[in-house]
Amino acid sequence: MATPNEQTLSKKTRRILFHLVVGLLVATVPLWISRFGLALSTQIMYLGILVMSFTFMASHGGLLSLAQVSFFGIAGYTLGILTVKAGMPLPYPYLLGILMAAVAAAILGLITIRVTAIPFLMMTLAFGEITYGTARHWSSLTNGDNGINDIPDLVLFGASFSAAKEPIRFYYLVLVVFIFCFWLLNKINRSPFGLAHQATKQSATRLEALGYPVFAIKYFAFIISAAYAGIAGLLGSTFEGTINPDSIWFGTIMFMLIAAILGGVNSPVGPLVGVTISIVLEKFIEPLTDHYRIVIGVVFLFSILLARQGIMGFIEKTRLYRRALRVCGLD
Amino acid sequence: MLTYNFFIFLNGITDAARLFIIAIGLTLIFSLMRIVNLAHGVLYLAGGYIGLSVMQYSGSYLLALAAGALGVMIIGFLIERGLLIWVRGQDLPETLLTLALIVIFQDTLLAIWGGYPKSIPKPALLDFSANILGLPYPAMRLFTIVLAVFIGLGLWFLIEKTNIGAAIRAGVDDRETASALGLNIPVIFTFVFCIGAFLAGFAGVIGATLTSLAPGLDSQALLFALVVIIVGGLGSLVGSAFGAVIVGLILNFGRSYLPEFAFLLTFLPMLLIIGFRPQGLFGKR
Amino acid sequence: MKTLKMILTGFLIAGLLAIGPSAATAAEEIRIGVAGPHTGFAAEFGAAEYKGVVLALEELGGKIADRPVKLIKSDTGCDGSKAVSKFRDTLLRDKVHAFIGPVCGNEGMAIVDWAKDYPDLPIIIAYSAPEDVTMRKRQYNVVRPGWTGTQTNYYLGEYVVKELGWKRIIMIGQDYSFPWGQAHGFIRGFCRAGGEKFLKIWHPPNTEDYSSYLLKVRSIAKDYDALAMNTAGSDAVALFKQFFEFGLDKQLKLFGFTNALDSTSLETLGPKAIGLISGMHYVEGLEYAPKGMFTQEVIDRWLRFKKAYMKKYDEVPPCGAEQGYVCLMLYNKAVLAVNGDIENKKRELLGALHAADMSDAPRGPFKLDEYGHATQNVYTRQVQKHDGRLVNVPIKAYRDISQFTAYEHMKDEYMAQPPSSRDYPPGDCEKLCENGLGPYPDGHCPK
Repeated sequence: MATPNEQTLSKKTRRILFHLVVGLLVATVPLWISRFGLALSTQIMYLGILVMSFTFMASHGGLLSLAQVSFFGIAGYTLGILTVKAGMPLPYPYLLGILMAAVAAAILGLITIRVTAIPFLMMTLAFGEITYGTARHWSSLTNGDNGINDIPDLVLFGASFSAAKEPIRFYYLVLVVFIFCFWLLNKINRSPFGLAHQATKQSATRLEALGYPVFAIKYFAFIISAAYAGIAGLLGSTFEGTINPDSIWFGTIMFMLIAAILGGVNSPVGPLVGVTISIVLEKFIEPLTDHYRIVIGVVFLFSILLARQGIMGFIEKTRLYRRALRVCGLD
Repeated sequence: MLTYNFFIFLNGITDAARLFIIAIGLTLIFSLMRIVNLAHGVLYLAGGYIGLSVMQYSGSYLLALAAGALGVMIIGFLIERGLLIWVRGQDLPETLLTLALIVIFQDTLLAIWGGYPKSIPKPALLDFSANILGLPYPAMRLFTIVLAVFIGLGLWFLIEKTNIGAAIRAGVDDRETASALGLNIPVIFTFVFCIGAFLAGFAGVIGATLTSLAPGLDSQALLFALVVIIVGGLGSLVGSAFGAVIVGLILNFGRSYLPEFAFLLTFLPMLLIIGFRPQGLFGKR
Repeated sequence: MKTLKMILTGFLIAGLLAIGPSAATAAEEIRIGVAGPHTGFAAEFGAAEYKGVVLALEELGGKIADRPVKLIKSDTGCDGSKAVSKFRDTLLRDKVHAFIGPVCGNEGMAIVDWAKDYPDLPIIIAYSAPEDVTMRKRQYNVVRPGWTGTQTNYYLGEYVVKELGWKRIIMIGQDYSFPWGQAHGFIRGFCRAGGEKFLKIWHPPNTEDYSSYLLKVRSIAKDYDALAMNTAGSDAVALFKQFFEFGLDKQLKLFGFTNALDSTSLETLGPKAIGLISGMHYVEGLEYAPKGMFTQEVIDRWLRFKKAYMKKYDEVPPCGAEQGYVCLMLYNKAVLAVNGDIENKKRELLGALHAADMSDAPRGPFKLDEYGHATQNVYTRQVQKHDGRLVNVPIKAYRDISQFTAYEHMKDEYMAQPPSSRDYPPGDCEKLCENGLGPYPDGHCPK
């Protein structure tokens, strides 16, 4: 292997160059992509935040939380109810949306954080069913099965970010939010809190013996994950302009799970990769057959059996990957 | 008034019998293998559809019942031997696998049998309404109680009183020791899964006869099965029986007296149990 | 973190490049998005709509105004958000010129709001039935040659009182917006005709076991004349079965609102359904109507469609199929009216859609009202057995019924009332006038 002196560019330069290229590509997406691709990119990013909230709990906390979709929904519905039904001016509904999601997690967490993985899964599933049922039946509040449909365009500090009329602006907003969420989550995971959270997955008893407040750690992690899911919910319902009971139940849960597993639960980029693959897969296979759900189910099945760590798990082991890391000065 | 309440009670008990039959397959697989078979609902539906087709071709209810139960048992065998075996012992991948099966099966059943609602006609022997306290009451519903008791007792006998049952219980309590003592654990587990699947298919045919058969009813079956085992206690067969009775009674009294809150009635037993006794009535902590 | 950023972008780019630049599209062809559920419990309705559209396109020789037509099918899954997502995808990726669909009520409500941002895009709704899509939330580019629950049940309410003398009705219905709309129409017609009592029992969808609801009905049956089924699909099958099991047929008459006795359920309901009435704008047994109800021309046109559909798909056309067929035919007429110049004459196209003459529709003649909804025949129909099959046959026809039914001359007052909900309108005919809840069409209030 060539020593640093013999390389044409120093490692540091290579790294900076690479960041420039990456940043440029991501920032200029709207210039070289079609309208359809732009809409897709926007969707990929906020769904990526949702899946991030899931993998945060799953890979660092060892708990499969299907309630993330319910938190997504609670935030979206809060936005819808406060803007459309109560006429509250923006941006307060956005803040309250995230708050409501966090509060829901705070309440649910009191009951569910005590239990182990399988009962936890079932309880979050039950919570999802209850959220769905309430959204459907409390029609004076939620408009029942028709959902809340004229969710207003995003307006922040006087500037409008309409998803339909100004998709480029909306894309950049979602991009900024996504990068912020990604960066923040990484920071959390590397903090003492985050490390302790990860440790709870391996051996909670040992941690407790060492004096860590295990319940509190898991509890706060759950609330943080709910806030993330809430952010995704706000972006999602604003993008579609609508929120309804069906979008916060089984179909979305399956999508989140499939994206999380396919991408790689333990990799930080897993959510983004997984969502991209899932969405692209769906958009490509759906025109080919009415039974595209079977294809997706089979892909999911094989992923569970053969590629438990998802695509990223697979890639991280290859030599090509390590070589690429070296070339870009990222090792 | 008393007559009225008696009939609601009877509705509750017959409904409980139906719910017990639906839930027992899931309970068995969970209590003995620690797998939450989320595909239970689609297996229920598959049993109903297979039974429907056999009924249409042969006209024999008994044959339809057997076909539905055995057909799903075979599917269960294939699932267990072909798929679950690769993730044996790992709770979360097992559960995720069953979720994947839901997606695959839902669309497959739709593709084969279409989306129009269907129903299995009652067997001629039970196609009448008995006269109870001067009012007609469908005999098939009453017979469901007989079926539920039969299944419950049969399973209890199998697990508590037979050698196979002892082997199953040993395998569950301590896998390594049982294996060291010469018990063929994989075969035992496959056997248990097959019984669970058999019961799911059986429940599907009975359900299709009492109510109907259509896409979407798999989620109902799964939901009720989950509620029953959460209330009764994860891992307890006796608990399922009690859970089913409680759910059945709450549903029916609730529908009669508080119909505006009917949608809550499905979750109410579950919420109460999680609030007061999270491990369920007969569950172990 | 930085490593990851690299991989992140790598994948983002790879994925997006795959679908980035749009495929080359033929300039000449007309692309129509056909949206509806193709998975889930409502899959048959999306399938029926699509089948109808395909049959219509075939009859047109695959072309509209000499331009080849491409249909782009998408699955909305009976979910409002998914519908918006699919509509947007189809519009952006496939650059369609028009949409046919959606099907489910919640989809229609979501789409009519989405359509605000695309005022030149024609959306022709086949099956989605909420009133507000062409009333309170109407958009000029959204037309509906379909139906609403109120439209098909108002005169059923009148019929049961005037023709059958049933003045006290219990209704068991699914608790969501489509049955609410049906109950709304029925109650108004019923009360106006002199109905006395109307009891609503709502249940959550997918109830399956009606024993305790029927028990309650049994305890009050002596005070009522008939039970109305305001459910559909698997719920209707279960309710119907259990109604007879509990011997209620000896105490009450049974009938259905609109989709309880849909053609797709009749075979499953079985011979006990013979004689039951319901109300709808579509009858699959039109040819068996009493003599004189229709001109021979109308019957021939219907039979031609029915036979063509049965030949191609081996089943009696369900309502959704005829509506899909009609949507394409409507679009065809509008495009012909602008000589195929849909790119430049967008406003004229929309005008042509609204003005099209649909007197040759298979279900019977109809035209679109000023809000873009079909004004058409509504029938009281009865299940009968003909040629070895159970079919709905019209026994009374109400002609030129608009979505406002008897309130056609007081549209604004009608729309000022609350929209259909679980509680509105109340089952008590006397309450229909209190607190500004709305006068009867002829202006009077009881007492």
